[in-house]
Amino acid sequence: MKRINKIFALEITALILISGSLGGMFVFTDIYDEVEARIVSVLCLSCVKLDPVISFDWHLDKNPPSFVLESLDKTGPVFIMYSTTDACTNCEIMEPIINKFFNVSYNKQNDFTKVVSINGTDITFIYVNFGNKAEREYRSSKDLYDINKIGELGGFPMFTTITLMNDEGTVKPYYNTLYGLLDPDNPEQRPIILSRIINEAIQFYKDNREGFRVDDFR
Amino acid sequence: MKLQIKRWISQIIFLISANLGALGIKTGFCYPFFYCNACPAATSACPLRTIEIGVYKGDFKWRMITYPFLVIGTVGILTGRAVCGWACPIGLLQRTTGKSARFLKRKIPIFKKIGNLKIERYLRYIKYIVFIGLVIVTTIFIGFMFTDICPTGFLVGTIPILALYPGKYMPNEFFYIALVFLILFFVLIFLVERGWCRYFCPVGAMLAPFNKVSFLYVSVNKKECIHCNICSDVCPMGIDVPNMNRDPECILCGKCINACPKHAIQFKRIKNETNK
Repeated sequence: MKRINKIFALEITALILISGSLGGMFVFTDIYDEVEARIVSVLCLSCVKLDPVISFDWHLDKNPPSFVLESLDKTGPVFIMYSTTDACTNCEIMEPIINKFFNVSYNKQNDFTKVVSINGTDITFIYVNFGNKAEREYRSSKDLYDINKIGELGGFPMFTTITLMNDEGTVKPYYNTLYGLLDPDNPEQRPIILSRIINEAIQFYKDNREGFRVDDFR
Repeated sequence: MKLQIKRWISQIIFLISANLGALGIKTGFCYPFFYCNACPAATSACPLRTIEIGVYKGDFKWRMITYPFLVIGTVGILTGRAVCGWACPIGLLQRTTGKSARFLKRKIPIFKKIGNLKIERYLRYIKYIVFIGLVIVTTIFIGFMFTDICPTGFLVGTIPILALYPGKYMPNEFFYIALVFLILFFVLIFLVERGWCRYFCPVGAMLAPFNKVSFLYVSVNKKECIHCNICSDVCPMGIDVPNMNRDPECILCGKCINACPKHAIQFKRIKNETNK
């Protein structure tokens, strides 16, 4: 009888401690929102053992956000890198390659913007981290540029490059979105592919900058 | 209503509630059982993935580590491993394959022998090694995570995504390894009843110790027991039921309770006994 009472006391104590701590976490921390935003609402590519198929096509940017228009008008092409702080294997592989190419370093805890010069052309580099409280406009740009619509599953692109292109006589913003690893089977090709895309974007921008009227898109 | 019908209903309700993401319901809760948040219809987070994110490459995020342990701890203290038997969707899958394993055990002597081997009880410790080794240690030191090769992730995440979005995804470096594990997973659960729960489930490893202190447990009245061993024979976890005392492997499915001819086995809450 005494032993049973001891077990009962132990159970009650453990329940109060554990469930009390859990309740405390819900009340005093944002763990619920954090888990929802970082895990449940984001497609975990490593959990599904898949990489998105890469598309090198450029697409018309039908509804460019204001920060993109601003940069296209005043600076040059725009490069947006999407990332998360949480155990994202592909991000960890691609980030050093991208950071080396653009010669940037930043604290992953915050958004980061810098104008960098590549082959004499200014490019606006933007780092957006979904694991943190990214600016709303940056965050929602992911949906605009998610050409494969993996956002429906909670996924997000690795990066987007936005430039200018002549579309039947009118210069318009165009973008190219890539997901996951560039060329998963050939790691040495990744910086080469990245360089090719950026140089293509620079060339398109140079060719079409003169005909771009930003007010047409506001 | 019969206990096992109640259990079917409970398992189906939990299966549906684990997949309410199909209706757009995404929550910030952790599943207290083994299910994957990469399933397109997932409602909540996998507790293992949450821990992995919390410890990834030694970058400790204590809230992420603590949260799933507290969720599992609360459920564990209340019901022990009853979630394995009454709520887990992978448990439900194994319930459906259990008949095949039971048939093989009865008809093919080698399977019966395997079940009776002394080493079998030690194989049950593999799940603790999987939990500590692949969910925690390798994640901290080399960034390799159990969920990279998790067969459930493949079953409820990879396959539906490939079916829903054909041509948009290609295999990553762990795809084929995980596929092999999925095939082995199915072979295992068809050959050994509740084989995954017994030997490999890391969430089962988290829940198992709570059987020792849970409010709800299965109790055997040893004075009335005639040691006919019918209970052990029907037990899907292969427990020696007449001699068990809050066994960490017990999933509280209640099959032994139904089978006992002397009604010597009961669900007990500690309160029942203290009142006696």
